[in-house]
Amino acid sequence: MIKIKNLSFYYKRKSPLFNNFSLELENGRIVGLLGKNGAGKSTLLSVIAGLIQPQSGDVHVNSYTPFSRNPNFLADIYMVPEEFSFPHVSISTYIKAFSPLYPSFDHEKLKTIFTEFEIEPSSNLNKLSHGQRKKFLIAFALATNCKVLVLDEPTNGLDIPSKSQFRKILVSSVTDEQLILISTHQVKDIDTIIDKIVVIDEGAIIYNENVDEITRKLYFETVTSIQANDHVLYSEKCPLGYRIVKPAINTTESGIDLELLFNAIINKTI
Amino acid sequence: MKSNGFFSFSRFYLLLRNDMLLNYKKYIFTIVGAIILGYIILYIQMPTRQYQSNFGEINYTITFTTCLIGLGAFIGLSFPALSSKTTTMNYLLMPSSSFEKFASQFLIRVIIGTFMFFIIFWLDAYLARATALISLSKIEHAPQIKVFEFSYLFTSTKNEPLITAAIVAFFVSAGIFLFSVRIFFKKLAMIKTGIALAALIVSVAILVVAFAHIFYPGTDGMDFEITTYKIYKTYDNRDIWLFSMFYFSWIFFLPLGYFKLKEKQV
Repeated sequence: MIKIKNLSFYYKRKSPLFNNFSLELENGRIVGLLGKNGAGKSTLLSVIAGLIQPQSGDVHVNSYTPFSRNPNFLADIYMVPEEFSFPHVSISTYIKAFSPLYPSFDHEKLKTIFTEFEIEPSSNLNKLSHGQRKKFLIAFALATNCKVLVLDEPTNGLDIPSKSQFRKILVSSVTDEQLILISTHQVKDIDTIIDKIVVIDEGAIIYNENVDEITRKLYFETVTSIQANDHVLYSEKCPLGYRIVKPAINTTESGIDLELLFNAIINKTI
Repeated sequence: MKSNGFFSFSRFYLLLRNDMLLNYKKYIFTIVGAIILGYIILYIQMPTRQYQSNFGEINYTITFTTCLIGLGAFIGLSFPALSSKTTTMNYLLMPSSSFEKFASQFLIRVIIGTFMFFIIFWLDAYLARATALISLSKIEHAPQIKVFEFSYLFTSTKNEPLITAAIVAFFVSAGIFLFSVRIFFKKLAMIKTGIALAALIVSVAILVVAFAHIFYPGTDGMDFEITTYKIYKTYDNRDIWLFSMFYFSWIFFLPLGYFKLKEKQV
């Protein structure tokens, strides 16, 4: 569980990134953290992981203060950063070196994910492509069974089949005790797996809603033209006409067009 | 199961195991390189021809002190993971306490590093002497090469225990400085640490000069005046001040490094 209360953070010689920022996320969810470039998503993830210390405010992750970097806290959180590097060792050596540090590490789960991702354990990590290394890191992160998984742009560098494998593997391997926080710009890659959306802009939460609540309130569709009585909240032109979002009144639920929703939120029409 | 958040032997063992699994090749190459380099340095200084000088205590002491630069470099290259943002991130997120991380590097780089340095130097001294003696065996009135003993290193100060202790303390403090101050830097940390050490020495010198100008108004330029008086046996206040710096500065540097690691941010 993540509890952030009145967080203030700024980088040296820069204007405040977060001021009185509060957020609460419960376990058993896959949360999509969205925002424009520079909104503070990666910084927020770093605060949650304990890599940076906020100037003020209370941050609690699994009842620990992240920046104290208590080993019990570190054994229950795993971060997949956007940029990463590995030592010059084989995958099997890496697993032998790092897996014992995570008490809940599941080697069987890792094997299964390796098979799905087509990863060969004897390969040298630094001889793999960026996408393969990313897949390995995601596989390792999931196998740790940490209560909090923080994924920063997890689908960057993955090819199209790997992206769908990623979604499948993530959904199948996450338990109710885990909280997965995914920050990404590639919203289409995660729109079918997340069950909560948090949008941050200029250091504040501008949207925080569960997916089932969104589909109950909003209706997404593509129409050839927009009528005056359509009550469209937001629309974007597309080759088939318009992608629109409107209030879900007396209609069946639709799937979420996350990109459209994000643009609608950013344009303050929702 | 929750365990002690400060230190746990099992976690410490896993951290050491992790380091060994990832870096054992690097350590083996370092040891082999040090053996070869140490042998070459010792051998080229030993006499192998007629009329060359004998090789004894002073020569071993000078060579040993020169070779300490290598040990200093090994210690100065501690915390290699802190050299880039991505590796720092991985290192800080490893499930072990800051104290365990600090202690594991201290054990590997300072304790084991120093122990290995002594063994390698002793081994090289014997190997180099044995090789040099092969050449000397064919020469009449060949120069003498003494068998190396660690007690040679303190021959010149054996009757001055305070000075002997101060020399040892100087090297210990310098080593701890290289080990701890390295944590403040990312890239080229060892060079920056060296510069920091030079800056520290210059700062102390400037401070002494400044005090001399304040308390002895007649002092010229960079000269410094100080009232000296005997404190203990033949040692005056300047000696004791220097000894104190050498004896106790590591006590300051060690926690400095630990707290810097604990507060390290990415």
